[in-house]
Amino acid sequence: MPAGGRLTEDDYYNYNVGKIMGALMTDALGQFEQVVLTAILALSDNAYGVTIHAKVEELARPRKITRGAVYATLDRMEDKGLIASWMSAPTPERGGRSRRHYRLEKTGQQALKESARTARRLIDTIAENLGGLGWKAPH
Amino acid sequence: MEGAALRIPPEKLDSLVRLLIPPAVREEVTGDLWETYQNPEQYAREALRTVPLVVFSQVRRHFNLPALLLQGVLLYACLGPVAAALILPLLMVAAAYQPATRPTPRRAMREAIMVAFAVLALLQAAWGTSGDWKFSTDGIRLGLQLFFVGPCLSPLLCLLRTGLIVDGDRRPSLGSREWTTDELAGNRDRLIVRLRRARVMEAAALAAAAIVSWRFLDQGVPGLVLALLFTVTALLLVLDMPAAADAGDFLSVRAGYQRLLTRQQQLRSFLWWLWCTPAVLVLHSNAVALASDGNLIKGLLRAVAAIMLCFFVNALNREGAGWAQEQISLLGRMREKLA
Repeated sequence: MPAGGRLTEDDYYNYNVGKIMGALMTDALGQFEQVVLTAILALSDNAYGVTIHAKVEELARPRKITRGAVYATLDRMEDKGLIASWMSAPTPERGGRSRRHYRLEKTGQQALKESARTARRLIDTIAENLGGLGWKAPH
Repeated sequence: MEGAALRIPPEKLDSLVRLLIPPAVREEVTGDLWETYQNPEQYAREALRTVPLVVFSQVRRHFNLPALLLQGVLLYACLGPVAAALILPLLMVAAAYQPATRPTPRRAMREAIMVAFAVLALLQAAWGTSGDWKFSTDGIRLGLQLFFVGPCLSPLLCLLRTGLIVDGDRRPSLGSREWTTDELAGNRDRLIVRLRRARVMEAAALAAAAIVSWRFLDQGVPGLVLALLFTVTALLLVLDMPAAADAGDFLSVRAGYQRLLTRQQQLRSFLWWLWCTPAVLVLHSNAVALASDGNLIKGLLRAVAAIMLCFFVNALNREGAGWAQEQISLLGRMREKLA
């Protein structure tokens, strides 16, 4: 949880959805893979190591995520064909080194949509049986 | 961003981090570390948290279980269980750190010469420790022969290595020019056709080897295991043909092409070890039998042949893996040419 701050609805949503999905998801994507795929999707053309890591930390808060974990997950998902990567031109602020950019492949998009559908079903079922979740899930 | 651009990690620290990161991802990972650099402590802390997972990921990516099993069998049979247990993890890490290019001719020659001299030293040491026998006429004659083996062995290994380098140079390369999606897809499809043809031929060769190993080599368990291994591999080669890839945009075609090259290289590496393993095992068992019968030098010569065979297969795999990595890297930097 964010230290010293009140939880917002978004915090609560992200935290609980993460917990629920982590515990109950049985499809091909792991929870962290879903977060990384979502980060790539959100970043669109600007998805590379640094920005993906920042977005993943934002999505997975309050958890701290190391950049190494993001690289390992990116490698694994690239091997599965969920994402594709390419190298950009070298830039001076990186010491003349290139960035590796990422993009979702069709299989990655489908897997992410399926994960979202499952998460939605879980949230609806839990809310139905517990008389609400104490917050309003965005539809 | 200008202020951030001025902050540069200390050169020595950066060199150390570069050294620790496997070559396949060195550029992007060190680039990301540069981009988020604040001070040396933060840089070192970030690198310490990043590098182990990056190395682990590369070990997983380059993990070739079938080839590793064969290497494990060879190490176990030739050097014993302790050596196998120690060397196999090193091989796994070494695979993760494999260079992203083919070895330079200079480096390849240096390695060949080093292997030749290591083998010569082994032979001389064995001759030197063969007791009074070395002072007999036969012993002195063999000692002189060994003295001339070194100068001959070195050019021989260099010649073998040169052949592999020339063969690698003749392989078609994607080059650095721009490609349209259709051109790239066409190139990939032609590669798939070539790979299918090559797999059928290799499967036939493996089936023939299975029959030979079953009927002529050994009727016992080793012959059966070898025949089964050849047969299963032949079947897998036929059943697991590279499929015609779906059409897609430039990025998808390129990603599929890269995966195809990676898989093919892993398979090729396993197949080279599969072909070489029985021969090395036979040479090793002959060497042990001859040495225990008192023919130390003849036994050692067989051991040398086994070492040379392993050197050759290793060199083949390094050239092949280097070529594949070069093509994957070229693909990663390739720009799309609009039709």
